[in-house]
Amino acid sequence: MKHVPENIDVLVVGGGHAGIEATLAANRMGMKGCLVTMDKKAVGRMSCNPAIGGIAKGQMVREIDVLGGVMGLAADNSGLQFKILNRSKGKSVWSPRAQVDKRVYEKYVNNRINNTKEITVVEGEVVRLLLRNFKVVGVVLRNNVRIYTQAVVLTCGTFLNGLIHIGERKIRAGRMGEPGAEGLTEFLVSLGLVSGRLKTGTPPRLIADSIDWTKTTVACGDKKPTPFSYRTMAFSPPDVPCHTIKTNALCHDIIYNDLDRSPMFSGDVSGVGPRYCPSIEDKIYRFAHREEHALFLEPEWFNSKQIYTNGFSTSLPEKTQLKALRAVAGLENVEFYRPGYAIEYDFFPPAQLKSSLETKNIKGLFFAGQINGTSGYEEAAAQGLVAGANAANRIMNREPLLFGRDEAYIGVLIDDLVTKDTLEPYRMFTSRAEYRILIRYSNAGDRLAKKAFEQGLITEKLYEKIAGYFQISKKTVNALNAPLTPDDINPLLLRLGEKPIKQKCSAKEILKRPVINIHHLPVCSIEKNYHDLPSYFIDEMMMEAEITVKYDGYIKRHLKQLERIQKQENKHIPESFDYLQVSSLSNEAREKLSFVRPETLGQALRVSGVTPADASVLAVYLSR
Amino acid sequence: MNFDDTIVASATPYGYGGLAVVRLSGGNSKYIAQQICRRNKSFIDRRATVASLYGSDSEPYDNAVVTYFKNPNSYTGEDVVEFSCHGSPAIVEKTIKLAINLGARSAEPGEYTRRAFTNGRIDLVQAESVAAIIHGRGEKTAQLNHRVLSGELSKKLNDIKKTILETLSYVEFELDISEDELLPDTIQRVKHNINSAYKGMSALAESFNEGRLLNSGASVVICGPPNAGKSTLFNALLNENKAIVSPTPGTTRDLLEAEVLYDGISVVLSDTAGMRKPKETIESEGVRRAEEKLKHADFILNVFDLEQPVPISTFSQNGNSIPVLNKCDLYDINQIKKVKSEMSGCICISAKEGNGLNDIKDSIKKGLHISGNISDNVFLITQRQYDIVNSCLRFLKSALQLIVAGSVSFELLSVEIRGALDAVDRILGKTTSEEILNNIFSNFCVGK
Repeated sequence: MKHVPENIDVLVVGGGHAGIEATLAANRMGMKGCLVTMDKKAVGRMSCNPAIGGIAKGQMVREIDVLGGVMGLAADNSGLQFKILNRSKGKSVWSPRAQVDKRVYEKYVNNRINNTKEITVVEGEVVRLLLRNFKVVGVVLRNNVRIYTQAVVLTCGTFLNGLIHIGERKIRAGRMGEPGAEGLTEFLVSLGLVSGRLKTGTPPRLIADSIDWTKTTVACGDKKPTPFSYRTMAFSPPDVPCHTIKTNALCHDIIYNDLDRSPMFSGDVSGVGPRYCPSIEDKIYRFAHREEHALFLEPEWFNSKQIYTNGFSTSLPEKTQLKALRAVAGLENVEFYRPGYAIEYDFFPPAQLKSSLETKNIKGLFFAGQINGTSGYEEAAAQGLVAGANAANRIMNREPLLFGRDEAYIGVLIDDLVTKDTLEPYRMFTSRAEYRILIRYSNAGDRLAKKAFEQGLITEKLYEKIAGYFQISKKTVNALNAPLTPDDINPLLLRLGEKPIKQKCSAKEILKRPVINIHHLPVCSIEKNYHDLPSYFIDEMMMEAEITVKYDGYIKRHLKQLERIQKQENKHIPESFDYLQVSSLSNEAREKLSFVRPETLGQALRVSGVTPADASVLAVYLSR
Repeated sequence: MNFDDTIVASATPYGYGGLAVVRLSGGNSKYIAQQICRRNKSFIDRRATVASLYGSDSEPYDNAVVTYFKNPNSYTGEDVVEFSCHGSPAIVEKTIKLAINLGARSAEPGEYTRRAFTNGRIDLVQAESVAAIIHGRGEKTAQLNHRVLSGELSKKLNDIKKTILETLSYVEFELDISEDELLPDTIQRVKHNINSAYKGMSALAESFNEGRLLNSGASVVICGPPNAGKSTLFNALLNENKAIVSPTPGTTRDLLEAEVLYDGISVVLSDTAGMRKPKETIESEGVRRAEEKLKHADFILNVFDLEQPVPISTFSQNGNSIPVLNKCDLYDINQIKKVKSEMSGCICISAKEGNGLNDIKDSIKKGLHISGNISDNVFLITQRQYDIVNSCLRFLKSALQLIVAGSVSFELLSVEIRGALDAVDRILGKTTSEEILNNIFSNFCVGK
């Protein structure tokens, strides 16, 4: 290497979604950063599906955006179609998702990294860390080059001892066509960290020209699309369609007959895969009564000749994959760009981390992304951002950036990671959030912009801009206090088959009726004062106003619950607390708590295997 | 409360008897027992062993049967040793004192059961029935509480919980996994499930009246004007002369209570001062107490005679009361017939002669709605259970209202269903808070 970067504050290992957000977050907080990647050309690559967001994930993309992250902007700038999921199921769980052009996305992110001052990108493989008194001071690359730094964020994805399976074939790799990373796991284990093994998979990529598109069903995005980022002011994505097809009995038979050749069934894979994203062989084995499964054919970029077969993740032999797919109507003559595969990789059970994502044992060492047993671009990016910001906080001797479970999905994510057993790759769901009604994608700015600004993650200008949007919703809610006379509103109520009112009544009361929405009411003229804003933000703020009114009772109920548990959430447990001396804890609780070492009583309650009785015992001990 | 030390207490009531049982629970139980018995050899798990008990002298002070239960297969889930010694307070006290000198501490009320609960040996519903068995009167009550202790109420609640959990799973599946829009079928299925949980819970709520009567006994109050023969009836129903009777109106000034068993059900009878304008302060206090008693009565006997022809119409909370015409031995048959035809449900008796007493017993049983059919039903037995079942019902009702309202906001539906689930958990003791625990366990007598 010609030039070894010097005076680095935060060094990030890995250029995936976690690594990128970590590097950029530390940079926004004034840190001099270095991103070490095994392949400069692969920075920002989307390894699996060509989509950003989705249920619970779209909410996190918004949160990342408010915290100044790049994911939302990159998706807005590379989006092929945008859709809000869960539209018929309740407004507080609406979840935005975008199909994106992987190439444009990657390029956008790369430009951002390369055009940011004080970020150096280094190509190389980190094989061990340099430590002094259990504190990180640098890394050593495979070619023996040493880079000194004040903090390290490890975001190794599936690269640590990655092993790809396609039928009986095994390939050592981090991703198809990219070598894995060896030695780092063993080094970390030698420091006393505990590692485990997980598995994930990806479906085959098909050649577009070999598909009979006439036999597929078209699936488009929303006609009025909503962007992820509060910073996206001009937005007109092309609405490129996806296509759906269905498997059939013949296809299932072909897979079933070769089940024993899938490494998942033959016992070749020891890592545990995600239940919520099963392989096609898993689906056919476990749901034998199903006659068909839907497959989604998704373009990987604009005018893509390469098609992602969502729903057909598999590690069957290539020939079986092809044969099974060719049994499906529309895919009779299908050809592969590359087959699906499963990959096993090392991870470090995240109970070994503090809520700041710093390892409990080694100062200045942070973990983010799949190395923590998570799955998904959004989960990775969220952790990367928090780890990067907290690496900066560590260096500046500031309090770490933390989020409550009632404050952000990111808070739920990290709290779950540091307290719960990781039995499979962790994916975010809205049901993991006890207070999901409070943490909507549509109020992310209201929830987090102030905190982001105070942390130094966003500029004052952006903070004020976001706060300005929420003025629309707040003013609208106020305006709804205005009384309506029967003459004002009864014609509408009668038209909708609603009971008319006899006396004056506030617009708020009318809005609480299930069939009434905010656009029915005359007070919405407030939006006219904001004609320079894109209509999608105005629409969203009107929806926020509506939710605030309609969900008022539920919101208050949650706030009351929160108040009740605040005491245990704040009850700090000393780092050195010896659980073994508390003999009336159950054995399981003693063991788990000793491993996890929760930071608060609230966290202790959520540790897997800890019963309410254990928690009472602990509460008594702590109050002595 | 300390959780990890060894506790000791007498498991049998204080006093003289054939046997008394002293019980140790905790990690040092076996060590302490070996010291008291001066034994080097360990006790064998679950085997009754005869041993001599020693104080500081070389002579033993008693011979006892010692049984060791190794953890976790004991009542508390800890190491337990039971000494069945001779039933003298001196021996019991000495054994306890020795155990304390050897490091044990006196058990707090209900601590054994608390430990059984903490160690997962029993759930909260079962724990409550332990208290009920100890305090319970009557054979039916014992049967009922045994059914609860053996987990039948828990089982029923667990069935309902399963339905609720399943419903929640549908809802969460829609919110978190399915990317399709909602189907009417799904909504119908969710509604059907909530309805079925609601029905199950309602049945339990209704069972509380009977469960409560069986457990705490029914309060039956005799009231009426002075000199109507209330105390005579009281004595007749008790079959003993507990109340003083005299021809002077206002003889009974205080409240008298006594317990009788009707078909294994405990009934607390109260004799009250006659209802009239009191002549003196003692009597006025008696009248006040009578009025207080009437407020909480489960059943009221309005006794009158033909001297004061109209009975005072007093009713219990749930309208349970009957008019009772006393002194029928003094009146002719036509007079009695007339009263009967004018007053529906009137029972004609002569307390003095003992006529018509069985009619009164029957109408009490009927009026309390006690089926007597305990073997097929489970009952809620404590106010806590009843309150929680009602709170669960409120959540389920709100959930149903959300669906009826047509705007099926599934995330709100989930809030209500979770509320219902938390309520069930609170009865089963899976998610209870420290205060409730303290409250429940302080109701136990020492040693259980």
